[in-house]
Amino acid sequence: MWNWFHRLGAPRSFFEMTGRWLPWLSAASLLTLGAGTAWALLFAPADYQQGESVRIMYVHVPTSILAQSSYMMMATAAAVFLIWRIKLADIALQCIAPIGASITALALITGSLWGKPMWGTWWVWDARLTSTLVLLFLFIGVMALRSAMENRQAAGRATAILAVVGVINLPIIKFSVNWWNTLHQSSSFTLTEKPAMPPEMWMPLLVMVIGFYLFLFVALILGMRNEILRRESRTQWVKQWVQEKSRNAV
Amino acid sequence: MQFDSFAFVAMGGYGFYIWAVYGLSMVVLIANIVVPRRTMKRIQFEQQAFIARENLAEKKIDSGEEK
Repeated sequence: MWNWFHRLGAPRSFFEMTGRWLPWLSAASLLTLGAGTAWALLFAPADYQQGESVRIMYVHVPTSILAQSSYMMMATAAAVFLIWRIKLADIALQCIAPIGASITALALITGSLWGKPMWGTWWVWDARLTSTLVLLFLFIGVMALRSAMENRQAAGRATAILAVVGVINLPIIKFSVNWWNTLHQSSSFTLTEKPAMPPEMWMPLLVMVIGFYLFLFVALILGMRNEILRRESRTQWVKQWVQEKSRNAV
Repeated sequence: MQFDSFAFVAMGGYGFYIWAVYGLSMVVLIANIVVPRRTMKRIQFEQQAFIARENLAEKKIDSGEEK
């Protein structure tokens, strides 16, 4: 088991393993997202209070969950990089930031598109919305900091520290709906309690959450493979891999 | 039950919001897949060009063309 982890930590073995996983992960992601979308739009019932607009939930909730967990993943990679200096962790930290930023932006926009018909406003400066906006700025900050620094090692360490410090925002997002008076409703999903929704609603939602997670892994793996090729471009194995690829393409 | 396509698009008056949400999400998800795939192609192309140059330089040295 440890041996397996150890091999996964080496850029080359990570590249080779993920190359084998990628087709399966992509197919699974496409399938679950397709099925979840059809379920959410066609078969899930309208809400007795919110009507058809509740269908926005099937995108808004997964993207919001993903926004936070992708930050958690980025911060974990940052901590691993700071403690053990594992190169692959730095690569993960670099590649997850733009994906996390776009997903967080999507969570905010979908929330806004839900807020307009339900609350009568696109935006309010309440705790949950504001702390999620801060999350978006943290992702953008990590990206900007890296692109602003020439030296890769220094950039890696600086962005890792920023990512770790930013973790303080996550509990604020999570508990914001309990700590402050807010327009935003409390969590729809918890691990410990039964969902407050009927199964016709939480089942498609669960499918969408799984689909979005699979998508996150596919996008992250794609980005990390590119970064590995870039950083190891002068090594023998990358040269061999490229030549093999071009031979197969002909 | 007959499928009413107009009612489906209208979504009980929330059509604009719902379709905007699903449309935008699709754009963001696809972009996150398409952009890195294009980058991968570009990296491969550049790498091939680099290897070709390297091989050419080696050949020149071997045949004594390099001054």
